[in-house]
Amino acid sequence: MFLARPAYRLRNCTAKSDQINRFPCAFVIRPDKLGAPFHVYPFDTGAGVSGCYGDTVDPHVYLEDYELEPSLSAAQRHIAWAFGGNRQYFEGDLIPGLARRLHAWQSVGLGWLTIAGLAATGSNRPDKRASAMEVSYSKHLPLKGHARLAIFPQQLVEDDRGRNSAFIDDLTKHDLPWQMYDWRPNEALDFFMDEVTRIVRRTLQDVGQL
Amino acid sequence: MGRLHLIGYEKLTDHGLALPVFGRSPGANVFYTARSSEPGGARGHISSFDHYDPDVLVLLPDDQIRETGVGEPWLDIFLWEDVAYAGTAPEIWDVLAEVPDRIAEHTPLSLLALAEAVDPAAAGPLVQKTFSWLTTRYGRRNAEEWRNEVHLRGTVLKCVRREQGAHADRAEIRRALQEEIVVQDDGDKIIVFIGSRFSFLDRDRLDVIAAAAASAGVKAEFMIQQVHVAPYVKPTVRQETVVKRRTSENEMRIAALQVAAGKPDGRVTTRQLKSEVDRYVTLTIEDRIHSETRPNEAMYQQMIGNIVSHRGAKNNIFAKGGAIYTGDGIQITDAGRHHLRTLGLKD
Repeated sequence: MFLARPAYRLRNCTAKSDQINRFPCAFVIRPDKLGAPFHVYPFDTGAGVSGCYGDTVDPHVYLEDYELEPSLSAAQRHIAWAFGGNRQYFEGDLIPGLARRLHAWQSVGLGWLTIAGLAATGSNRPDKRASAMEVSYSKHLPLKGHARLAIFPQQLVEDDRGRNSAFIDDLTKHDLPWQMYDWRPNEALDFFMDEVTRIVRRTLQDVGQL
Repeated sequence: MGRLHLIGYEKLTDHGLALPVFGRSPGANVFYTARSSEPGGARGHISSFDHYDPDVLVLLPDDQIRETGVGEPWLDIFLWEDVAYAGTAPEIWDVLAEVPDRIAEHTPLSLLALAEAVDPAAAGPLVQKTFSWLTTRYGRRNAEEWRNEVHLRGTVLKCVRREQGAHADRAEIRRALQEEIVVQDDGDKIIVFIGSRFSFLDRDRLDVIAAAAASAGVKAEFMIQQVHVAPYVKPTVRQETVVKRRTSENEMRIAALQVAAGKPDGRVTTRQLKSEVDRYVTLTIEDRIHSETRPNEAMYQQMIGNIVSHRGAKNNIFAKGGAIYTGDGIQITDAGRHHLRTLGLKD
């Protein structure tokens, strides 16, 4: 999962197919009771391994070199250093001129800045995964007690066969609010990501985290 | 890419609209999805195909497989009671015509999505049904959330994106669409805040949004808001100031004189003024919203009516000798033509 930012994995990241998950759902998780993460990376490693960042990746820097200290405070320090604040991190907008503060031999930092630039608003086609903080835990996360919002396509609240109350009842039982977005088969792929992002942004703004 | 066949679908749930999947032939093992020329809209056609790798592909029966290609109407798959209905939205709507009440009883959101793809105007009655269904099932707060954030905001987004075309795919526009179009519940009415960069929406588009709100049982008001959305150097800030923009009555008087100046003998009826004044003044959203006191007129038309009928006002075109009242409109005078020339306008 990603820290305070929705970012989708692509099933296939070649330029031709550009397939984003067609039916995205997202959960906003409260991490305070989860303990220490297993690992923290400053970008989506799955996308990196799949080659989604293309030529921007420094071939001389191993993936593991980008790993941060496995703690949320390390992630927060990274956000403060690279973005200056939560809002800028959410949008993927790096502090301007950050690369000039690094020495040429700091290849990991420079390499990361090149990758993270793909997520900036000014990028031709921003790929938010390029600077989304990847936080992994060594065990499965129960949503109960940890999730604070569920986001899914509106069709999921309708009846399938018989009355479909179990799904929403479950969310209600766990005191988990939910919000829907309008899923349509003829909709642009980016639209779903934008809608989920908008809902998460508003949620975080409402509690003063952005 | 040539022509493909609609051969199957990938489903989100067991009902409602599914994702159509295409192949070169009915037995194809390389799959594609289509892109619409009007994403999310009702009148789109297939604009291109993308390679796709479905998780779980459900094949259509042979008699439902059909050939299609770029430029042809968008094809949908609608699932209902274990049957997949394939075709254009109107074709599916016609087939399902016998059971819409049953569908509405269980899956009103899906039915509304299909109805909007057939005829957005005719979908109106379903909006209220959907709102009631959500209220009964999940409470009024969730129903209002859907009405404001999904239905009404979605309608505004569709209007804006239709106007913007491919431009709407640009990163800064996508971000602006997220932040600069806000629907706010204000008790007995809905206020639609539209970022100033999207203030090009014309009356027809606003009418569509207002009708969507009316079908959901609320009145919509439109406000232009100044928003700065930019990268780090200009952090995202939603300005509190909401600027109401309406063309001034003085600008409208000058435009009225211009309309009259372009007519034989300089005579123009009030009706002609109301329909032609927009040739001479760029109307804003605020000008185009419906008048509260004259529901059949936009605010700018009401203003024109006032200019003609409030002949006693000291600042009007009659008092200043720019025009005379003709009984059904105005006639520009030599003084009026001279006034236009002094403003650098053609008389």
